Amino acid sequence: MKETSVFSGGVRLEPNKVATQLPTPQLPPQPLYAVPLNTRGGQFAEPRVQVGDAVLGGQLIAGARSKVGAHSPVSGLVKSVQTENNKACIVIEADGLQQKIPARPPVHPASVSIDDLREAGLTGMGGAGFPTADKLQAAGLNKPKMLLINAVECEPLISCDAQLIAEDAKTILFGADWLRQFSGAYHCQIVLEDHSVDSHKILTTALSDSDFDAISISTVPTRYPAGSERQLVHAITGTALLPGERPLDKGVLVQNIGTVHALGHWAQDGTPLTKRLVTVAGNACPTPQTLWCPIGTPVAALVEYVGATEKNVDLFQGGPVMGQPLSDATAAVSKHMQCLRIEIEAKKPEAIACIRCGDCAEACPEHLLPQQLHWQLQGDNLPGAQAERLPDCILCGCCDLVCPSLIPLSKQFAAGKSALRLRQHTELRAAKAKTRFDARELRLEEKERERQERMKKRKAGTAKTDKQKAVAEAMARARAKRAEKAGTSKGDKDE
Amino acid sequence: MIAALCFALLCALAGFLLWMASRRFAVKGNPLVDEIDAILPQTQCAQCNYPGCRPYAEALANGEAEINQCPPGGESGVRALAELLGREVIPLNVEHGEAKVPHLAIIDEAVCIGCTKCIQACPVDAILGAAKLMHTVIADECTGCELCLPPCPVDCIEMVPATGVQP
Repeated sequence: MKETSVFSGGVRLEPNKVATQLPTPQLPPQPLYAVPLNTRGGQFAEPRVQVGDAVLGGQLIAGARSKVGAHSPVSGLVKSVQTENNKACIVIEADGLQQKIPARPPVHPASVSIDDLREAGLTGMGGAGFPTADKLQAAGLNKPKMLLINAVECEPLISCDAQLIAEDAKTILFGADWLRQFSGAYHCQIVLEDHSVDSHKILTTALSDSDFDAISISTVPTRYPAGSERQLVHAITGTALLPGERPLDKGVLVQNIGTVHALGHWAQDGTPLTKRLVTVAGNACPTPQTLWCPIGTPVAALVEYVGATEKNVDLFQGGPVMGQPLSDATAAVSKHMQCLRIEIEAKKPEAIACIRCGDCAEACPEHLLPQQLHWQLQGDNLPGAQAERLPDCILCGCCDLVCPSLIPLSKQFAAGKSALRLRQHTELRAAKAKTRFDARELRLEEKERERQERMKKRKAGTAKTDKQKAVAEAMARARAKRAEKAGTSKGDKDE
Repeated sequence: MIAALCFALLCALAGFLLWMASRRFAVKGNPLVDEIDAILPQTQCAQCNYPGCRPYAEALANGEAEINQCPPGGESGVRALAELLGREVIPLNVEHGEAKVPHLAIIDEAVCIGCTKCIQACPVDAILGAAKLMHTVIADECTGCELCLPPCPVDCIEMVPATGVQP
C-alpha cells in the first residue's frame, strides 16, 4: 500500500458501513417507473417518446447528442410525459416481459465520440451527478496525465462502492482502462479509504489476474471529506488546488467508480445507464442493505422492500452529513442518489449564538472562515460573504459537525451561495439590458440627427430655388418695364 | 524684490499645473449618477415616470426624485439607494406599481399581425420581427418592463413569470 499525504482540515468520522452481501439484492420488478429528465448543471433532456409508445429496456426515451440521454429501465408503455420544470419525468408502465435492446459488440475508445457517451446517459454517480460527457469534453481540451478513480465513500453508511467492487471488479477494471485510453491519460489510480480492506483485496486480486499495466490501487486515510474531488486530488498529488482551480488544471481527471463501471458496461455491450446501486439505511430501516435499483424506481417501493413500517419517518437522499431531505414522497431514484435514509428524527437541541471558538475554521478543508461567513450572512451581506470566499465553500458540512453551538452552518452557506448566484445573474442581466438600452438610445439619436440634417438640406434646397425664382421674376418685371418704356413713353406718366 | 518675483513665478507655475491637471483628469458627468445607475435594475420600464433608469438616476442625483419610485428594484433597491444617498428608508410608492417577481413577455405568434408597434416600444430591442411578419420576444434579453403591452393593437402579448436562474 502506498501511503499518501492528507489534505488539510476535515473530520474523522466512524465509517459505519452497511455490510456487503453477495449476490447483490435486486429490487423486485415494479409496475411503474418515473425516469427523471433533469440532470445537475441545469440540463433538461427533451423527451423523444409520446404517451402510448411501446419501449424496450435500455431504449433511449429522452435527450441524446447535445443533452444527456435518459433510457427506459424496462420494456413497457409510456404512460405519461411530464415536462414541468422541477419534476420532469417520463412514466413507464412495465409490461413484465423484461425485453431489452439487442447487445452490440465491444467498442474501442478511439471509435467513440463525446456525443456517443452523452447518448449513453452517463452522469457522475458519486452524488453530484455532473454529466460525464461534459467532464470528458473538458478533459479533451486539458489532456489529463492521470486518471483517478474515486472509490472513497467518505460519508458514513454509504456502501455503493464496496458493494460494486465485491460484485463486479472485472468490469470496473475494464471501464477504468477504457476510460484511461479514451482520455489519453498515462496512468490510472483507483483510490480507496484505508479502512476498506476487503475491497482492496478484491481489487488487487482482480488486477493481478488481468493485464492492465497502467492501473494501480492506492489508499487515503479515513478522514471526511476525502471523497470530495478537490480533497482527493490534494491527498494524492500532495498539493492543494487553488481556489477556483479544477483537478483538470493539474492534469488529473477524477471519475467516480460507479460511473466507470457503468461506462465499462456500455463499452462492453452497449448497455446504457438504467440502474444504480443504492444504500438504504437509517435508524428506521430494519434491514440496511445496498441493492440494485432501476433509475426511476419510486422511493416508496424501496421503503417497502426493506421493511420499514414506521409511519412518521423522514426520508433523506444522501448520507448523514450532506444528505438532503426528500420533500417529495413520490420521488424516484435518480442517477445520483447513492443513499436513501429512512430516519425517525430525534428532536435536535436549538442552535445557540456563535461563540467564535474557531473550531469550524480548523475543520474547513477549503481554508475558509465559516464563523466569518456566518457573521456576514446573518446580516444578509452578500458582498461581504463573497469577499470571505463564500463561492469556494464545497458544502461538505465539516463546520456543522464541529460547531459547539449546533448552528446549521452549511445550510446557511448553501442558501447564501444560491442567493449570490442569483444576484450575479441579475447583475449580469442588468448590465446586458443597460448596454442594449444605451445602444438603442444611440441609434435613435443618430436617426434623429440624420432626419434633422435631411430636413435642413431640403429647406436649404427650396430656399435657393425661391431666391432664383425671385431673381428671375424681378428680371422679367424689369424687362417688361423697359419694353413698355421703349414702346409708349406717354403711358408711363399716366400710370 | 527677487523673493517676491520668485514667489509670483512659483504661484503662476503651480496654478498652470493645477489647471492642466483639472483639464486632463476632468470627470465627465456626475459620478454619483453612475453609482445610482448601478443600483437600478435596468429594466428601463419607466414606471418611475422617467424615460429609463439613467434619467431616473440623474433625477435622483439632482434631488428631484424620491428613492421609492422603482418597483422592479423592490425594497432591497430602496435600501441600497437610501444607503448610497444618505436618505431615510421609505416604503415603495404604490403609485408607481408594486414589486413582483421578474416577468417575461411572450407574443402569441398566431394572433400577431406584424404591426411592429411593440418593436418600437421595446427599450432594449428584445423583440424581433418585420412589418406584416410575425414578431417574437428574445427571452434572454427581455427585462419584463411591459412597455410593449399598451401599443399592441390585438393584445397578443402576455407577461409570464420568468424562470429563475438554474443552479
